[in-house]
Amino acid sequence: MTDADLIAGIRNGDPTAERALYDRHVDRIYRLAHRMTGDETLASDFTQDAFVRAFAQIGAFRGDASLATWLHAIAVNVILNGLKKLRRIRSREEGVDELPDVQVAPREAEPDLKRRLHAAIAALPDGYRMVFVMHDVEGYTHEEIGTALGIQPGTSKAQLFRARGKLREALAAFAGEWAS
Amino acid sequence: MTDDERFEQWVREASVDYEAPRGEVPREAMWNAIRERRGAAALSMHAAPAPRRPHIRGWMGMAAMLLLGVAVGRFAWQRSGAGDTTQSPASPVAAATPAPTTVTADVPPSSTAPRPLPVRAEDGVRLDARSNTYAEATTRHLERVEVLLTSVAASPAEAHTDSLVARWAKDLLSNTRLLLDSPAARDPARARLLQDLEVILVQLVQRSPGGDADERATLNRTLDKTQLIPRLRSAVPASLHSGTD
Repeated sequence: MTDADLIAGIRNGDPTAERALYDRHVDRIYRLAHRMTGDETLASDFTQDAFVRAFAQIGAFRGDASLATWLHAIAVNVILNGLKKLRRIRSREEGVDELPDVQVAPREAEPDLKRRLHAAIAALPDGYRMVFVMHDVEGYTHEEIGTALGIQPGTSKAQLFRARGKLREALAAFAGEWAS
Repeated sequence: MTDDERFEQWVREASVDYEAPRGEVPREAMWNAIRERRGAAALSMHAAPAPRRPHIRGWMGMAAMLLLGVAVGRFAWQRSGAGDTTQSPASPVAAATPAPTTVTADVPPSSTAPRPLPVRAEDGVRLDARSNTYAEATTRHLERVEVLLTSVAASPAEAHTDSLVARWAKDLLSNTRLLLDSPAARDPARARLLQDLEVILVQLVQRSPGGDADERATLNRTLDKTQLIPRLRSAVPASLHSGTD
């Protein structure tokens, strides 16, 4: 079934077309959501939100980008907004003043370089983390990332560069060890 | 290979399993949830007034009536007396909506009542029936949330009422999320209101029965910070209250 068939089917309320679109993209979207949230429930919620929104907005799809790119743009938007909301809820529950400072673990406390890298990725700002995860982990191109985030591919490259720079800073104590 | 290139290569290799999902993607569970949500959205947008779940009218009916009584009494008193002074005509929802070309379905305009949620007239005269439905659904939803929040603010914390409130809030939370995903949230002020409602409803849903003082304090702090109750009162037309069930 081509993208055009899927779109026509979904617009006509054909459940088979909806399911076909879902099956085609759900794994990649769920994986991205999971990598961004680190939580199965949140990943599942965000994936559902993305598809509910996509089915509801399919009438507005103009075909400027591919269906997959459009769907990923919705998913990225849902994930970033969802993360923002979560932070807002948590900060209200805890009270902004009571939020603990981010602790930098001493080198001896975390000898595993890979775990340290994962912690540094998790500490990246959401926007940088999204670009990093999409490009370096999930293999999206800068063009795809640019369309999904509503930015130029060049901006995506710049953000990836900054994200890697932050990771390198965070791992400065281990400089050179990644080469060994 | 430069040091930078070595670092990039190492980062790519070492982050392959960064927060990777373990096990299968829960395809069927997510698909079933999506279908349910889409069905619920269709129902809530086409039914007026919005459907009520049977379980709420069932064994909890008596308790709900009690809470409603308190809320409506308190609300009516505030509307008729001091309530008038608390309503700002420049409420976020009203302020974000152009005044001249508005139509209300069944509420006559009043010089003292806050402006009802309007249906915009595009190109001067053409009214969009779909927008009208969303506006009505939103107004009724806001009205129900207002009753809940007023009840919560007025009632002391008790295990029995807290569990009732949690169920009630859960019901309203799902509708809030549906409205946030609908054209009803196109108005930025209304979207902000719905987002703030979502936060408070989540807190109510998560509150443990008979909740401790901290939970109660957090809830009150959120209500204070967001000024939700006054904002809801501004967003819901006063005359709609007297006309609803």
